[in-house]
Amino acid sequence: MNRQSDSKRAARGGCPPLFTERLESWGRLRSGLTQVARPELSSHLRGILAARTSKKVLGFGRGLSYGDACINTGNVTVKFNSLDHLLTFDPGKGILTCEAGITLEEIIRAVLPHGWFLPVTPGTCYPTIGGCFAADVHGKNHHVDGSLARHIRWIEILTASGKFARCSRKKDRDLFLATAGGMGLTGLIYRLSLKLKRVHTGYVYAERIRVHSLREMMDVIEVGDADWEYSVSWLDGAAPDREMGRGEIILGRHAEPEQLSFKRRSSPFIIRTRPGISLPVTSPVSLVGSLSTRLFNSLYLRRSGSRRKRREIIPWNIFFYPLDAVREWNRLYGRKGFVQYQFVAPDEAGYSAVGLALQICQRSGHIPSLAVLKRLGEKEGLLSFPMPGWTLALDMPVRHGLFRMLDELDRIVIDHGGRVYLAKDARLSPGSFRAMYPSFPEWLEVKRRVDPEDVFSSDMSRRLAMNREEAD
Amino acid sequence: MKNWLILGATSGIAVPLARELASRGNRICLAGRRENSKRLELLAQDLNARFGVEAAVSYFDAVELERLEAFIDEVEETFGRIDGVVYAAGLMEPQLHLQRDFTAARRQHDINYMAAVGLLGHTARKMEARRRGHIVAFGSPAGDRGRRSNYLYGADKAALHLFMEGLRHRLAGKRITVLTVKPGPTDTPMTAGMRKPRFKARPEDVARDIARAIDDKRTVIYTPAKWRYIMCVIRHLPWFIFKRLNL
Repeated sequence: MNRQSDSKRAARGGCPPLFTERLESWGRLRSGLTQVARPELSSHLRGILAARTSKKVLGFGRGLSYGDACINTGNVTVKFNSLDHLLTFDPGKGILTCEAGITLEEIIRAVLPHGWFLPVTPGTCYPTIGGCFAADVHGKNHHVDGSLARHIRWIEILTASGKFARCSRKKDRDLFLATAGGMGLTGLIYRLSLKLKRVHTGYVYAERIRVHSLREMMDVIEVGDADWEYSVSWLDGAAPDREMGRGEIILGRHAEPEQLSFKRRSSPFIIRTRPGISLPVTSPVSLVGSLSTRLFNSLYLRRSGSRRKRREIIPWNIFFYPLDAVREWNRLYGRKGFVQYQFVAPDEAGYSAVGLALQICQRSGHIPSLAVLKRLGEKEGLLSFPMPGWTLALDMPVRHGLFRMLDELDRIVIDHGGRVYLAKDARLSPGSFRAMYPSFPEWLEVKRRVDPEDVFSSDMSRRLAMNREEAD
Repeated sequence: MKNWLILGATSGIAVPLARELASRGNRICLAGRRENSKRLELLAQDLNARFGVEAAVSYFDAVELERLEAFIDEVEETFGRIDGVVYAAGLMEPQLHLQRDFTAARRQHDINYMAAVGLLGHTARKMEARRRGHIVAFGSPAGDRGRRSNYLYGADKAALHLFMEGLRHRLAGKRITVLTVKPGPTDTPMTAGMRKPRFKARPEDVARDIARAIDDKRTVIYTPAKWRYIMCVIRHLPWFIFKRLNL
């Protein structure tokens, strides 16, 4: 332990020492120098607020949001790495209480051996539970189970008043709904209580279905979603117009013990996960271009062969977190980084919006290296992303002209009554944001009540002018 | 099930290491300074909630050298026979500060080296009699070659490395494993303020490497493994080049 920092800590009255660090987000296209504090106790959080002077404050999990939601340039960033204690876990009821800095991976490690799993998980297991709640993440089961906030029993949050407030759907409902999906702007989320999902094995029974057009894909998804807990689709963003939407639908549900092989059945929860390989350096230029994308996509399609349907039983980590197998894969995209553009459009407008977006990418030459389609249900929080409809996520390396094309996509999304996901955004304009998030005024009302001086702020909230009604 | 004593249990790598060891079903005794009692209690609660293992807390201060042996005896009495011990306490003050202040340098040396000799030496004697045990301590790539930016810390770690090497030699054939861990820059409070974020390893990954090294009865590991090769190059750089480098 660092004694010198202890003396500094005492001098500041409970505020841990601040160090200047450059933090960056997952897309690696936004970064900023910021004063970093690493609290180890809840009292340190109070100390940070008390010592902040005029600086803005932002909670930081593992920096896995894609854009600038986790960046707080020139201000104070509170890293939650050490506030990661699991406080209670009831293996009988599947109820867990933890500090906000614990990662999803660590939760799974603790609860899976007792037959429990996360009720909702995004496509990576490395983010913190606090960060996931702040972005109100959804998973492959959103059409059945909703977003994460639905399974959070209560949260404890340090608001600008310097007091910890416990809120839930019943108690201080406004604050709860403004914090779910509120991108950390209502306060520092300190503790959460979570209801887990019962599973009987650590495996997933999955079915892959090969489709050849967007229409076919959406039809198969609609049928599949009725029967399956998990559903996600990968499509070939490099496909020519006439084959637009060719790809693969992946459906899944937690496997039952009797579906496992005899060997696996004796220890259905024990799966050896490896730390995985990691990319040691950032390539100076993006290794992901239209050529490598085309090559990869056609190889991927060929791999799935000519059979329309394939079934398999796969371990949880392979099904839910395929990309986690390569650590820091974002380095592939080179120094300039990449964007994941994710939008949702309401049911009836889905086909048109998704089709148009893919066409525009094709025409402008910004071929998405990864394109993922999924159906969503109702939203939970005031600024939550989901709405009943279709969401498309497009990964694209940052190149000249990309942002201009994304502005065009914004207009299409707005015209179709949809919105863009804030956890992935780095470049939306304040005006577009307001058009996409009709509940924003309601959210702002709560924000003003709990944080009248706009203490909690980020590069994103300043870019989108989230402290006032009007865009300009 | 084994009993593990973690000395300096609130340090950035000790926390995930305690979790790794607890996840294997071991009983854990978390030892640290009394002023960290809240954090230690919280960690004990965490280990219990995560892995259903028993975790105890005890207090010592590495600068009180004359009381260290009594502390080990006390842990054995209250917690039980120590099967594995990790010395994770450590201090890295700014080099410039230490260059100007001998008292501070000496205190850092007490924490990084002398206390480890007292605590691990005394535990080793007990393990030697029982002919079983694991001893783990942290060296550092900084201890592989003296560099102007960090040689007082590096010297402490080089000394500890040599102590562990000797201990390993002495205990060879007595069914006691002695592991020296040399972690590269890791994202812990100790390295706070180092500006390059992606340069640092995740403490959970480092802890996993250490736990595996204990299982595999390794002697010296670098983690992440690439540091073995980086330091091999740095160690062998000829002086006329080395002196020009700003390391």
